[in-house]
Amino acid sequence: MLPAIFGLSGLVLTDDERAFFRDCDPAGYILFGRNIETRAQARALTDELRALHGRDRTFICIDQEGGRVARMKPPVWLPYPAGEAFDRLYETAPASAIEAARANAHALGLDLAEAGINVDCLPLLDVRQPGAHDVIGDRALGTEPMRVAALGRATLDGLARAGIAGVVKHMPGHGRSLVDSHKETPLVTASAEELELDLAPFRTLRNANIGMTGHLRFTAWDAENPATLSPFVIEEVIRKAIGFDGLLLTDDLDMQIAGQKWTIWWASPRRFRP
Amino acid sequence: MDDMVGIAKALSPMSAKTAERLDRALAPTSAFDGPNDLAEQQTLLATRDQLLALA
Repeated sequence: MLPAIFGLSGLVLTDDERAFFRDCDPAGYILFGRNIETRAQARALTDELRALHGRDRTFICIDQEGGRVARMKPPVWLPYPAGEAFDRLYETAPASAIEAARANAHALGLDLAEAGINVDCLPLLDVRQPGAHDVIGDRALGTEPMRVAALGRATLDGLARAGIAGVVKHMPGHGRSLVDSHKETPLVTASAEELELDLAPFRTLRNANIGMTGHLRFTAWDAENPATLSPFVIEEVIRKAIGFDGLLLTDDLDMQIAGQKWTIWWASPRRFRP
Repeated sequence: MDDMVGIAKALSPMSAKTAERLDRALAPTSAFDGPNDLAEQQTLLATRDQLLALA
């Protein structure tokens, strides 16, 4: 099996994709808006992906957060709120916010399960910082690490009740980004001591089964390489300091990380660490 | 497609450790074989909305 997750070009597999995927046997797939139109179509597509490999379980994931990040959209699917809604409630009623986040994720997970999707790239454990770029913004579960962890755990629990695995992201923390990481690689200049705040929710949920790295550089750890491509950040920060021992995915390599000095061709053979 | 082919050629097969992590990640998942239980989903959404209205 190849340690890669691939995307698809459209609503159905092309003959080339079908032959390629069968031959190279990737670990899984990620679906985007271009792959999703109706309930029946989505299920047929995921059924075909599963049938290609004959495994009991095939990793099929999607970015279905709620709010502005939703690949499955109305009117076919229900809208779901962004993380900020639960943070706002937590301010006055923490237990109710946790219950609301769990119920929301459970309901969202039922939509995914029906479509044959078994992994959702949610929750964000990024601690939102004042003045940071809106690339995270209202997607975050808050500005206080333990609140983010509590709501993140509730989200993982809700997804699990629907048979969906969640993905904690974006390790080691995306809350300080001053630019849109889809367009350029953010540089975070906070000290290692200050970054303890960013690590805290990931450390609390270190037993999660799946995590995702972010495409940010941190001068405190490795000013040269974005976290996704940094052996130091992966080994010393994510694996050791956080204590995460689950499956570690990268964020999308088609983001501008691939358009700058870290090309997808450079990244794959030299730094993609299975 | 060219990117995917290039990556596939460049990558080594999955390590045993990664395979174990992948198995562990997918073990609790299930693919629901039918339409959603709308009543269950509506109950969950009603609970969520009642709670969010407290904010």
